[in-house]
Amino acid sequence: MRLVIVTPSAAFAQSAGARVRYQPMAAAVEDSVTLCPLDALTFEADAYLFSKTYQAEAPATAHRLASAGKRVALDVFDDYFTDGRDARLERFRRWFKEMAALVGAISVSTPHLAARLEAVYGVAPTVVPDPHPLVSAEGLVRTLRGRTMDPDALHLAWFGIASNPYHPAGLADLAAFADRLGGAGAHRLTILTNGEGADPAALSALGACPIDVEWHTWSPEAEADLLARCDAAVLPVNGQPFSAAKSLNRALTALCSGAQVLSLGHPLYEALDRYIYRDLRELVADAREGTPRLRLSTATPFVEDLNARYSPRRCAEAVLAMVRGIEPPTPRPRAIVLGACDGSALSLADALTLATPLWQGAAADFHLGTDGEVSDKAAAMLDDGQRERLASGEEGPQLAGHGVLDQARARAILAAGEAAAREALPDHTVFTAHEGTLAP
Amino acid sequence: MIWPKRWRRKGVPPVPPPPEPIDATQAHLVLDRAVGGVYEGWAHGPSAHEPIALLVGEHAVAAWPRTIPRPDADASVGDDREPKGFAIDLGAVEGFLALTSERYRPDALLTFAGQRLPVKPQPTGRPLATLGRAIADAWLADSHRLRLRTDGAVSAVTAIQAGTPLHIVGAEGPLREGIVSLPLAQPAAPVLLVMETDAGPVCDLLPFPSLLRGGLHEAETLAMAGGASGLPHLSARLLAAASSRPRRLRYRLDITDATGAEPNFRPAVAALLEMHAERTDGPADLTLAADMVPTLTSLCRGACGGGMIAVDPQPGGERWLINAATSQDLDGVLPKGPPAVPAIEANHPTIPSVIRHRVVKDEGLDPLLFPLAPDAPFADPLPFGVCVVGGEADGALVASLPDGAALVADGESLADLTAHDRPILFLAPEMVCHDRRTLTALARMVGVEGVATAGAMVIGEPRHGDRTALDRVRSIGLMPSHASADQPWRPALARVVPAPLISRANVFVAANDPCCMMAAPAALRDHGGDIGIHDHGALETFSQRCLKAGLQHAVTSWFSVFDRAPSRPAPVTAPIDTPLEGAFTTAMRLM
Repeated sequence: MRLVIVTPSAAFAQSAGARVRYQPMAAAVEDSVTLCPLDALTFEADAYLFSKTYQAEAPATAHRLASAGKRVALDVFDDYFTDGRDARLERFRRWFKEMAALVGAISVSTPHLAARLEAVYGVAPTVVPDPHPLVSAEGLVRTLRGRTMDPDALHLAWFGIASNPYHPAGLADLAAFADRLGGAGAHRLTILTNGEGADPAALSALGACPIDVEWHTWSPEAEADLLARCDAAVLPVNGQPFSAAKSLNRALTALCSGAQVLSLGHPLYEALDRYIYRDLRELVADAREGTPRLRLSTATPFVEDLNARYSPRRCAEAVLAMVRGIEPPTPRPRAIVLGACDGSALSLADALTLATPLWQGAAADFHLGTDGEVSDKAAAMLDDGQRERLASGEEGPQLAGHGVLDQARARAILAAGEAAAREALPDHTVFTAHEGTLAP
Repeated sequence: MIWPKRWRRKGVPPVPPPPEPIDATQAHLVLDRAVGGVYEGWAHGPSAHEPIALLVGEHAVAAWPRTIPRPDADASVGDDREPKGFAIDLGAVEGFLALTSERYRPDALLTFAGQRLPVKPQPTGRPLATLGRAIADAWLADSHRLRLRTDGAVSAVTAIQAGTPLHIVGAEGPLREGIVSLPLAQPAAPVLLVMETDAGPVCDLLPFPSLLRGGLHEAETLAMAGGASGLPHLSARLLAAASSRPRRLRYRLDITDATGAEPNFRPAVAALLEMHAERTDGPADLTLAADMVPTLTSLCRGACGGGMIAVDPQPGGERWLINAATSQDLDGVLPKGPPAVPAIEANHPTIPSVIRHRVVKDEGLDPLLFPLAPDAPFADPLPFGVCVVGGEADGALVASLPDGAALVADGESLADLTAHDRPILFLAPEMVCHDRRTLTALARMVGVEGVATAGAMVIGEPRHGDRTALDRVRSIGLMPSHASADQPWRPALARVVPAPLISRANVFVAANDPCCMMAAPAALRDHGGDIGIHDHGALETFSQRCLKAGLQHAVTSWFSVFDRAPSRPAPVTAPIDTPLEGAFTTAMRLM
């Protein structure tokens, strides 16, 4: 079984998601799992796992693969889908609903995320946790042997992406919980992050951090170096659905580097509660006694525990087992009603493209509501009756040339296009490609 | 007894162990009186020049020489070799003890040669009495560090906070004017300051450090004290109120949609609430959302006003004092969400009850067009009529209305529009209803008893000077604003846009924006009979009549409408009369 993890772009390979979740799995099962961006997709593999491909053409591409007898699944490790309050995330929710309806299986990174998706969408995802970083009990013992802590002057570390475009996270969490680091001791905090992404509000709030702060730019090497030197990683998390769905990977990364972990806020890391701290005073007290929770005597059970639950091979095999169980659906041709979207990878979907007035891209196979030129493909596929029905289907409202008015009309325009397509092409599966927010 | 290092260095002798029962030839510590926090008396003992020491808990924190000649004391002990009298201002210590709950209250004693005099807990003395003298400035540098700018006369400062154990930290003062940092255990708990000055030790009380710049209640100082010089006075007022309050404030916590990152989950706030208030699930004075911290005014009075101070903590963030008028009935017909303003049965609506800390973020236009997400369900549509005033409806406006919304312009007066007994939506011709749920919401709002008109947030075209999407919010109803030119002692109504009310707030306002307003048929019939539909300022006049008749105007920022007009003239409203306090929301930006 050869599985391709379909990613949104080539740049995704540098992201935390690829580094933490997919690359360790791929490395653990060698040639069985590879990563490929959507726009460079080839069709030789047996199975495809879509991840973060929020492009509007992704659902139709997934449908093409399934129609070709491939096993197609969806993997989710960030929750942009279950918090129904944010207008900006409406298109993500629409995308998930469409993808979920056509893939054979869904995997997620945490039980919490599985429960949220199940509650909102009625799907039943398979939980495949993020794999832990490669570490051996002997290696961790060796690392711990070289460590000492000054309980009155702890070196604390925070590492990660500075912010999220939609949710308060990253430095905003650190700022929200930084007051828990005050009160006693001459501790210091090193922050390792991407400076250009920092939210001004979070930076300003961090001015109230009660201990001295030192800033450095994040890189994988800098992270490894900091975790090797610091006494403890501070991992503050708020309880919003997006954050509560996060995996254990940051805590595991820190612990596997031999650093203690101070978890603040939402109890995200409670599965590791034997090895982590929830209160700085407890860490200081244990440091004073020389009995931190991660120490020589607990290192081996910790690594054994990890291997039993989060080894990269176990995680990869869980994904492969999930896709093996997928029955490819009956093949059907497909059509895409084109709204406002980029559409640069449309050709991959091998679909009949039907343009609405919202479509601003290159030539489509057919322009709905017109009886003008059609592509060779459309000419070959459509009989006269179908062409007539597509040309004369109920017209939606006209575009007004005003952003807000046209946004208000997009839903009706797309609905009219879909209705015409379904009537004219009853044997097709009809998709809608639109990347803007749809008014009610 | 534990002596601070600096006194050991200076050679202040330790207090000897308690002596045998007092004998005329042994030690005496006599208090003549303690008035206004000043302890006056005399002391005599076996050691010459022994000072009077102040013990807090087991710590000796200050020592005063006896400098006042007391011939009467000299005579009674038969020794006139040294002055024996003292007059020590311990008002700050008394206030500190009075503010500290019995559970954590340390003993405070004046001691001399083994003799002891207790300092009483009582709210005497002036807090922050040294501000402007020994202390030039005081602020919170971060969540835990108190920073003082001292004058050159302060050689050392000790900060004391109650707790288990007693928190006591010291700092050497610089020789000249300079800055000292004192880490606090609880940044909102009272701080007793003991300063070594050229004239001897001086005690001062910082009863509410969170009122300082950088503190959780900084905006309350801004709203209530009117500048830095008012801080000691505000502190004294609060100290007196806390000491005489009939009971502690009872509050409920509404953590709907809370994430744990809000101020109410901070240990410092929890400690403050434990000190001054009681959490209850029963009847409460105040329901707090997770980002609302009670003002010290509420906590110390043990009762609430109705106002809210809204603080946007980001750089350049606005601060507003908002006296919001709300009702549960109004909330009941609109989407559910965390409360945007506190729900309070207010006796004093102009006294702020809570400080809400919330970042007002520019998230682009979509969240303003659809504060209720576009895929979120809402109620079924209700019938209403539409009356376009000030011009003709164009195709875009008509297309934005739901099918079946009848355009009505029959009759001459506003009352004439109510023939079908359905609400009437008044729209300026440049408006469009991009979200039809808005109209359902307005129709539901005018169905609430006592509501004459309903309005929504108005979003406009970009204008010169707009920097963010938030600047495109043109109105959330009309509120009292500047004094009117013709009657300057009464405020006029204007399109005031308090940032804290943008998105997901439901409040009563003095009037709704006439560019989009839905009116209840009964209100139109009762108060619009002699107002011509196309009279200049017809809707404003109608609104003010309703207000005077005790009806209310409701607005929601859960929904919005869009205004295509490049600009819109100011509403034609007469200056409003008082007293109508509490009937509508007022907002003042704190600078």
